[in-house]
Amino acid sequence: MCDSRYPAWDSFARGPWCERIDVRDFIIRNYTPYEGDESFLSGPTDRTKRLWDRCSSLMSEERSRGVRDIDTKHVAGITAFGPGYIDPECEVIVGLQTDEPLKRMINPWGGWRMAEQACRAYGYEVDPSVREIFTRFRRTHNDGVYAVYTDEMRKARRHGLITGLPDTYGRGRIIGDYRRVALYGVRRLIAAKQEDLRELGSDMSEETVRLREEIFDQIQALNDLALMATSYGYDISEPARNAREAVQWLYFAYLAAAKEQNGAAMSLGRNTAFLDIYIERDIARGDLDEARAQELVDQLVIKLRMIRHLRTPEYNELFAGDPTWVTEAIGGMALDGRPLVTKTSFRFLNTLRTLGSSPEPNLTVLWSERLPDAFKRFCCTLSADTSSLQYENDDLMRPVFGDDYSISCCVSAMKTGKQMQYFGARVNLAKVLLLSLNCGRDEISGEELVPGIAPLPEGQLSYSSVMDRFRSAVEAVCRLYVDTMNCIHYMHDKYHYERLQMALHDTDVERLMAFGVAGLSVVADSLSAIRYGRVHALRDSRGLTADFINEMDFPCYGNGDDRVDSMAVEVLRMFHEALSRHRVYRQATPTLSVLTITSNVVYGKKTGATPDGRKQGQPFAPGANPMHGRETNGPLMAMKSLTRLPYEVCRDGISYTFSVVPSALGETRSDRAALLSNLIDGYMANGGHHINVNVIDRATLLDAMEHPEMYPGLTIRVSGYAVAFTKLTKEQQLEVVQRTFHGSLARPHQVPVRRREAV
Amino acid sequence: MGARRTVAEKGILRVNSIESMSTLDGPGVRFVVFLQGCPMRCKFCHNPETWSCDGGQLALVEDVLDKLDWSRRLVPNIGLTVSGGEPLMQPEPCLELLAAAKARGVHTALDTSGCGREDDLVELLRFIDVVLFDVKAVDRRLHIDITGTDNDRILSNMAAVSDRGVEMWVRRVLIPGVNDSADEAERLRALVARHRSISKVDIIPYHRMGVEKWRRLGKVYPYEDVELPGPEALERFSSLLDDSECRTWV
Repeated sequence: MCDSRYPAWDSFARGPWCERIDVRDFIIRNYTPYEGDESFLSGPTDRTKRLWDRCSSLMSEERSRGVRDIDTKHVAGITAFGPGYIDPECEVIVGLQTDEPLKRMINPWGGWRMAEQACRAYGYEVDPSVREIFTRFRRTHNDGVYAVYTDEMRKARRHGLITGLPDTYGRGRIIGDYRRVALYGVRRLIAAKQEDLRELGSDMSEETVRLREEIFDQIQALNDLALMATSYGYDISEPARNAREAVQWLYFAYLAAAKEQNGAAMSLGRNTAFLDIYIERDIARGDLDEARAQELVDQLVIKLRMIRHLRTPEYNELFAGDPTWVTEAIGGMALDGRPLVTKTSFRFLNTLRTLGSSPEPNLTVLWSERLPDAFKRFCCTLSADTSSLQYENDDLMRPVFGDDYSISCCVSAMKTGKQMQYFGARVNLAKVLLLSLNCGRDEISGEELVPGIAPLPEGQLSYSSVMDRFRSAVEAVCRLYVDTMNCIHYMHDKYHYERLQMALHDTDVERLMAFGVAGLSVVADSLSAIRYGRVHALRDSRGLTADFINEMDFPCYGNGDDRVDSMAVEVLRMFHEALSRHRVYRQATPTLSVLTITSNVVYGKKTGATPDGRKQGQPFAPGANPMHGRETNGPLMAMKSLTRLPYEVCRDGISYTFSVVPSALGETRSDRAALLSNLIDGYMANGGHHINVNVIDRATLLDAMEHPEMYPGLTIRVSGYAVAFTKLTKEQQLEVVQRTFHGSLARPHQVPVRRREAV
Repeated sequence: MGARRTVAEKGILRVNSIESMSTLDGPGVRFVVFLQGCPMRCKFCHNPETWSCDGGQLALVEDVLDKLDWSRRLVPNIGLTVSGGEPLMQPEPCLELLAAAKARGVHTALDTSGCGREDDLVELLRFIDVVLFDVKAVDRRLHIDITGTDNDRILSNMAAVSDRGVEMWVRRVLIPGVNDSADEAERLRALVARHRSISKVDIIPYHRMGVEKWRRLGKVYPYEDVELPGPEALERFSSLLDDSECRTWV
């Protein structure tokens, strides 16, 4: 089937990838590592500049109205809309989610209410016929979940104990291996799925029947994908023949997923080494030059920056703007020791210059100590200039996930096309601690959320009695958490199955269930206060903790102090063990993240005072960060605490956001890049998993709060992704400004002393 | 001017705070230990909480070294800067810290106002690569006015460092209308010219970040109305220092 059937594969090195779907094998046999620097790069072409100008003005129109337009008649789907263009003269890569740029679609499959409320919030009303279908005839994922939720689950959800659950819209987090479409063409992918279906056998257990139906749906989705491409005049049933087609095929595949699903996070995957093979082949053939190569990448990135989902304003408030988490993982090392850095890795990063900085796509560098120095320097220079990159430890993940994993959302690794994830948001860990101090009752409402927590003895809080109760509370909450997730994902598979994304996975996919915790530093510091300080609870008339007094200093997480860091470690281990004791839907492997996204502000708002001295309503620190202002020994000691957190129980990722003022990194741009590179090397070599790097002055942020119009492109990294600073709510902006910014003094004015030698 | 000592027992430092990564306190990236206790009472001090000799926290020298060792794992070529307060108030544990750092091959700096015993300073110099010498004022009366102490011992200590050929960076916090006169510049220029181991002068713009700390300590901040130096002021003062290159001093 290879040579004769696919002239598109001319000059590619053959291997097992020709006989079976195996993109990794194709990449490893064909890619060219690049160890040089960025000097080969080109700027944007005129077409790209014109197109991006047009997009920028469309986006500013959108900013003033919230949405540019909503199609209230057609329901989201791969073939629901005719072709859409921004400026056909300038578009090298085509395809929009709807028939107009930035026009959003309704996606009621995940939940009717969210779709309707979002429309109303922007002054639109959904077409009555659509309303009738989804309220009378068609059950949604959201309906399904609420049909089976227990009272206990509803209560935990309402009180913000278990938060951010994907039960009202698409769960996201699943990454199709979009490269497959470019490499094999849709026809070959359908044939492979048909073969899988034939091999399933005739034992019609519930699992087999479900899987047969899913594969059937996957095949239909692939057919729809091809049909959608046809509407743009492309036949993608065959493999892509050149770089432009490879980019276009790959984008069509992603686009189809983004037409069908509205998950919070819809990553793109890991595509730069793959696309580089096509680009370098075209350049070698004389069909492409550097300017055109950059143009292809720029135009793909423009399209990714135009991806939109329809959300309610409350959702946007929670997540700070309109994030789509189109995460692209760049770099890392191959198992054979070669860097997976190619010229196209540079070209992708270069879009921060050709198009200016932007939160999307969520550019994620897979960092290894062994990455080429020139690449490290380039990344760090961009970081210092734009604050738009995050870094994740490839040396830590590669032994677990191999060398062809992608990053979902912010920090979650999974083998591309071979693993999928059931997204589970997170538990408010500070609330769990408060449950253990309040007989299982919510500290604000007084309602019992978990049963069987004994009252505490009077007087000073004793560490051992608190830990006993905390353990029981963790146990009870984890049972509830797993059960809740099992309900959600059963229903999502049933009513809002990711047909296309799963078609771009192996049929015998491995499943992960991604649990999470928020408020780790609050809990670690609280336990430390109880153990090393003298903490008394002040209780209200209902006997609930209203505040705490503490008469003694205690060590705080974020200073490399083992007395408290070990408590953070113990809490994570305890939580992970408790999760692992329960039966998980479809035999998924439970994983854990320490990540908050931007919701550390909202979680804090809903949480009473805590024993560490945090007052009711005050924000948590983001992700696994130390609490604001409590890391008093500078960044290196803060990083020590972070590196203590055990990745082996937090396989879904440990997020750390590092903010530093430019002058603290050094005097010149190259000084800053060098130190940053040094720091990331050191952080990762010592076991750090993830680091967001913000290089910015607090004064700049304060000015941007006053004059947002002056800073449309000001991007900052928050827990695991990037946002446009001016799209944050006032509260979120203030929280960012209050974070610890390492270094804050002006550099001295230096006068070198020159001496003439005395004779 | 007394040669008081802050504490201490052997192996124990009285520490105000630690900054594990700084690029402002010596060459390259520094691990900075700010020690507690200072004999001077500079009116512009931005860290008045470091004055008292019984504040701060006691820390074992070996614990500080552990933190330094960790920091070297992240930034292998990081240097150690001992600052204050006034490090010369704790000469024995300071010596232990610096000697241990030197033994590890770490680049060391002492950030001092020179207000301490010459013997102590000379002893420390054995383990110091560069001294960051803060000169508040060269004019004796001005020095007394700004800091509450004269600068006799400070200037002789500077000579002691210079005599031993240990590199010095002179640091001057520039306070408009207080220590930025042409006369003061000329005195500083002459001082720098006299001491051959001085390789650089850092002019640090005065800032008001300490004001809130004064308030919290219940003290009245004397320079409430002093303006902040702009780039021109820094440039002007620097240029007065910089004409030294054409002259020869032996």
